[in-house]
Amino acid sequence: MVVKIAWIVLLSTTLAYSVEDKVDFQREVRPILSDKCFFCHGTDPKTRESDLRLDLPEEAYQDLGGYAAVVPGKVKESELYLKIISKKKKEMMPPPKSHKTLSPGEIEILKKWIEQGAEYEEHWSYQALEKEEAPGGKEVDYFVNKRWDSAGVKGSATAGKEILIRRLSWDLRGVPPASEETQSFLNDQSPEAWGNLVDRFLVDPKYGERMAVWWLDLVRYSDTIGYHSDNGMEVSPYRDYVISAFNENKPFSDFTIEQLAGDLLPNATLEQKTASGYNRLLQTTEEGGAQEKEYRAIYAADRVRNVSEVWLGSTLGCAQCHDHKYDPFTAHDFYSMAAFFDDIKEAGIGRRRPNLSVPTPEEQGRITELTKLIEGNQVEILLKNDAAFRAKVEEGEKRWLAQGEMKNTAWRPVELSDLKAPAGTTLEVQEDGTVLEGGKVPAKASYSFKVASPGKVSGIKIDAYTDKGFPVKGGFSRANGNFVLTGVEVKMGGKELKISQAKADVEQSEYPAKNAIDGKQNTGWAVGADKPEGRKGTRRIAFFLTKPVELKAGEHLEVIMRFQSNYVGHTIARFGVSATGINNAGLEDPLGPSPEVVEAFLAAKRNPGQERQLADYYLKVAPEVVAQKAKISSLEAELKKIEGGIRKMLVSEALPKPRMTRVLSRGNWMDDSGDVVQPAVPEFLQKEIWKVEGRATRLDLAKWILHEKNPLTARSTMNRLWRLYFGRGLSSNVTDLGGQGEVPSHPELLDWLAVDFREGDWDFKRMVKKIVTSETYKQKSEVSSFLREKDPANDLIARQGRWRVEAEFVRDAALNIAGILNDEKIGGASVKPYQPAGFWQHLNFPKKIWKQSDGRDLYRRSVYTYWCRTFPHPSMVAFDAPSREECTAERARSNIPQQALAMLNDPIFVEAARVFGARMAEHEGGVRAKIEWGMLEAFAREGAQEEVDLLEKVFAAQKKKFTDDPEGAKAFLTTGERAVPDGVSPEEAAAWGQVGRVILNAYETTSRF
Amino acid sequence: MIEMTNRRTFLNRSTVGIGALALQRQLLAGNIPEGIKMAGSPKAKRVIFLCMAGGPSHLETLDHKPTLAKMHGQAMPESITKGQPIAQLQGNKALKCLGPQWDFIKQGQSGQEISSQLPFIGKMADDIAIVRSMTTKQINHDPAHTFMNCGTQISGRPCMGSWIQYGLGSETKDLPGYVVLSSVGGGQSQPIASRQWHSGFLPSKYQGVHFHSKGDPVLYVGNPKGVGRADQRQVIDAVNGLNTIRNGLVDDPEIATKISQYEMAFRMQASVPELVDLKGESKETLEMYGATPGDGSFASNCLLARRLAERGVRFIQLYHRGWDHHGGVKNGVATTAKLVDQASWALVNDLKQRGMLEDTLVIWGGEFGRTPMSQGGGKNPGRDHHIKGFSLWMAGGGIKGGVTHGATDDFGYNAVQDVVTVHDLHATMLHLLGINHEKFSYKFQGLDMRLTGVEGGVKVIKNILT
Repeated sequence: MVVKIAWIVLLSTTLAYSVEDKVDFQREVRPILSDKCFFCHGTDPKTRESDLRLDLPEEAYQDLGGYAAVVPGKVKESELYLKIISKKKKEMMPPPKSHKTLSPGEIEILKKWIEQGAEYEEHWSYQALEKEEAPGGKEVDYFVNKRWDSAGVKGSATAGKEILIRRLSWDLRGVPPASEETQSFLNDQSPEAWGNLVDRFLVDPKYGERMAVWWLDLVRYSDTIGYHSDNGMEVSPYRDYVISAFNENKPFSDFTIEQLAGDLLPNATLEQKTASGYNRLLQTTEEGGAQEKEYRAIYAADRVRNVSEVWLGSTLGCAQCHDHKYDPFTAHDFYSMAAFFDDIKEAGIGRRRPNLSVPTPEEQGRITELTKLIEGNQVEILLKNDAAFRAKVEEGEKRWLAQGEMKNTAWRPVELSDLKAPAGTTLEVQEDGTVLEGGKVPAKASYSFKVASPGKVSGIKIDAYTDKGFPVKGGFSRANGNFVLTGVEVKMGGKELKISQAKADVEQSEYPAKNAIDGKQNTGWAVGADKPEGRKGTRRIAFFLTKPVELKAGEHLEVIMRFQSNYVGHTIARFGVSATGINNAGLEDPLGPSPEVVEAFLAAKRNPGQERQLADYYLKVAPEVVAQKAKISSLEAELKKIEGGIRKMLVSEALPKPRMTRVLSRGNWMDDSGDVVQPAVPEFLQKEIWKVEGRATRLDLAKWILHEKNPLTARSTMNRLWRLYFGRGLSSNVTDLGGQGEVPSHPELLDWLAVDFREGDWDFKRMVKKIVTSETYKQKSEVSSFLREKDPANDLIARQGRWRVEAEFVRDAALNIAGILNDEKIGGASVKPYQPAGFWQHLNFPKKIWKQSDGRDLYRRSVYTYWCRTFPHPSMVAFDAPSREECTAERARSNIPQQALAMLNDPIFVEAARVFGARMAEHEGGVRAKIEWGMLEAFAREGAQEEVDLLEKVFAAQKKKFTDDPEGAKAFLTTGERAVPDGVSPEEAAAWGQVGRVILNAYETTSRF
Repeated sequence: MIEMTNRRTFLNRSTVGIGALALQRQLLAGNIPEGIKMAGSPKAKRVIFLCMAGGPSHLETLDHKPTLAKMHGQAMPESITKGQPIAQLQGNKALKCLGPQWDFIKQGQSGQEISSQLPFIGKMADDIAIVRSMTTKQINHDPAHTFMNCGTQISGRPCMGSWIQYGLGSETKDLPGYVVLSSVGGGQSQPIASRQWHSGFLPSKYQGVHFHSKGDPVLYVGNPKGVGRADQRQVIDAVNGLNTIRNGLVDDPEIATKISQYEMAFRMQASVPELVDLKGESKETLEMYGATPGDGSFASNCLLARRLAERGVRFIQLYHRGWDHHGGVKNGVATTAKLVDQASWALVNDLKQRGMLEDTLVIWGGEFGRTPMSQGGGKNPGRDHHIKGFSLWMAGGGIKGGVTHGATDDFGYNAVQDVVTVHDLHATMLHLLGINHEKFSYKFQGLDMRLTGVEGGVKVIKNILT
């Protein structure tokens, strides 16, 4: 109270800059001109009246035929002044039809301005950045104090330590501190305590997740395309890139370049390519009947709006249809900006196909390893490079030639007996070992026979041969030449042996080899008349047993081949059978070599051609080769599996020839008459820094955005960063720094931060630290009645801000307090926590079902929640999560009943409350001690007696209720998937859950102050 | 929302004790914004918008085109279609006329011509004004809905329902002031995005609340399992108790608002189930609408619309997703019409009987119309999306009945007489609610944004006003 009185004495009657002094053009005059005059007398020639511009001094001063709009120093001669004080409807300005009026105060300001010389200044945000000297380390406080001094105000006292740690934890990590963290900070009396705490929070990976929530709003990150069907698009690795960029403190310059043009960097890394996913985040459509040309124009505008809002803090989007009315952006500028993105390869209408695989480091490691193994162990390479291998094969060949008879290696011949066929049809073993069908052509058939082949049998191969006697040349059956093998069984001693795999050298579409072992008689393997290779030579199919068997002499297997399709006579009318002991042996080896090879083998004297033929043949069947190929094929299978599981995403890919961009008159995409434009930055901002030879690229754009003479980027970014820690930008309009934006409350501070950010290598963490270690940051957030009246908007920053935290952090906090937040995993595919059934019922093409995630994925931080643009998660929407259709620099902070409904009844909050309740129940001590502990967890402070009383009453009443209603307790405790802990009775657990609900729902739990 | 609960003593105490004045100030400020000039006395207090989603064919519903019938099967004159945006017929060289697939009947004293497939709507021809000269700018469903709702295709802008909430505030303290209901049937159901009822840059308290026909009618309105109403009351009392204690220390208007919002939520938990429970409706009423309680049909939704209107809900929007007849437009229109015709009539009739029609504006129409050219040919031709001329009807709240306004050309292609834009429709709606659309703006990104855009030339459709 004493302090308050002192303030009143110190304070002048108003906090505004003194009116008696010179009027401030930026703060006072320009906003009036911009709001009330520029629509007709500003930058847009199409809406300009009387050919008069008031945004440029030379135009305002110019002689209009004996008079001028503005005559510096001479109010009575200034037409502008005469018009604004006129009462005549035809004369007065602004004209009545504009529905704009000037207040007497505004007229007074314009009058003074003219009297004082009518000096113009360039709009503040377009002015070059200059750094005013300030005492090192205390810059923030210096500038803020300066303003207090001139306004005759003092700042608020420093907040208590338990408030400070909670504030900092929200601001830097998006969750409240754990009670142990609070305790250890309270105990730390060293002068470095605060700085150390800041450092600790800055290296917590939660920092990156918290910052990502901010950045992803700006770039409108989402998991779906946005228009019409709103189907999914794969961009989640981009989100992870953002998180890790903040955590690794990647300089903002690299961050910018990589997002806009990562793909254009020489030898772009996977990370840089991932970053370029930024250019694919826009809304797109798959709607049938959408016109490509129209949507190309929509996409172009989307990108221009976003890039200008994200990096320049400018609403260039307004120039789509006309020159900007309040800023010097022209329609030409808009389309020139759009042209930068015309090299991006993408469909106009239709599915967005991922064009980059983004393996995790583990996946990448194994892929590299496997690729190396596969490449280095190819038979050809081993033969060339591995002397031992080569020698083995060569020796094998010698032995093979020396044995004097033809003998297979991988696949060995078998002895067939007891062949059975349907009545009227015969099966006979030929001299060459093949089996030939004779007699009646059966409609359907099952052929069975016994196989003897001593040794290990892991697979049986059946070869289909043609025969000269078949009616269709090259055919395999005696019907139309085709067959369908609908089933194969292998038995031993009457017991069926399980077949794990079937593979064939040729498969007709929809008749793959695996159909022969699927147990169905209406599906099968065929080689197809539809494939030319199907009718050439011999076809093979091999069946591998799950468990290989050892055949002794005299033992045999029984094999049944079924041809039960509806196609008449589709049998294999001549076949051979062989066996192998090698798992997964290749199919190359036929039952027998070709007649030429046999001839060569048997020749008394072989010519060189024959020797080569034999060598070639042997290479196909050598056991070493077959085994090696089997090994490689299993490595390939593993590689394929890993590659199939890798996350894929949309990234930028430059077209060799960019699309052409025209200025679309009034934004009309059907109008082809506009000028063709080349990529360029807005003309009035080019100044001397835009020099590009040839067609400018996205990389040139990024470099210009970061150029030291471009004042917008650093100003806009620091203005937004400030907002994260005070709830409000230094310029309160964090979206637009242009003519209709707000003049900063502390322009020198904003500029100082901007220059320091740029000069300090665009180091985010450094700037964050600078801000949060200031005394300004540590002020209390309570509003004295004095300040509430004199400075309601907190222009003077004489207190901290206070607000309800963002949607993501509301949920994260509840999970964290419950102790179930899954914070061990960073990044990964988006997850789907609980969502009311049917919430997506209005989506179609195709119909969509929210497939809820499992286990720990239900409790990931909300930054990982699947973001559907047309239907974002409803309890996040209740807390003002945006749809991410457009750039959001400032989320609303509403206070609506839907928030109460969500926090009271959404299963995730109920579950968090009951798990939190169980933790209280398990905590030592009596009811009051448990409650006190719970309050400390949630509020990072001790509970007041009054509060504990209140919660104790809830506990008692609810315990009674649940004791009387055990079914109710059971139902309540099964909300959500977490199990109820042992050792707590259901009625106690449920009653504590209700206490948990009360605490989670208290405003303090999710408010930052 | 201004009223605090009067149920709990400690809350009463809190209202008096802490920041009550601040709370009142803040809540009041949420109502009619400063600077909105009323345009004389309002005729309508609320709006029920029956959105025929998918784009009903005006040529089979409200726009009778005998010449088109004569031209059936002949080539559409190229002079009309050349260079025009066409959705799915693009690149299709032979554009042929498809005559009206159903007859039209002169109805009522006024003799308004209405399709034989809308016999119930025909019965109230003298109560409705038909606009036959609607135009829009967006040819695909999603952007066309956005344009119809927000007056622009750009995402992130408020829809008309939110604008109206912002302008007039709510008349109910137990229900949201803007409610959306939906049903499907009769044609392929095109998706609808929640942006269609979003408040855009306006405060989010103005966004529409979507009622579901399955599960909780309003998301999260049901208590957790095992928690009864008395238990919920106890939890909320304790939450408000903690908040009250807290507010005594820090004096934060947000906390005061929070307390009132928990009360509102608690009231909604009772009022929403009561609202959707049709047990109290008579058999006659259910029959009049053709509604079976709980079936999620358009008919049930129409009955709910009346109940919402009775309870002071300001803007009620019913989507029926089923008018996208690219093929088989004849049977398609007949099927979908059957699902909406009777209930549309019943709603107007019911409102009239209860004396509510005079201050309730009812609008019936889609996001666009359909081409006079056939799509698909063959036995069951359809019609493509069409934006240059289509129809809708309005009734009640200051609308003159029995009037047909505007006309398309002989083909039903271009609106040629008294052309009405979506902005004109919005201006007319606002006018009936007592708002001058030109003075109804909100500052966003430094600009004075309006539902009816900034380009000018927007006009109220005077001809159809009483």
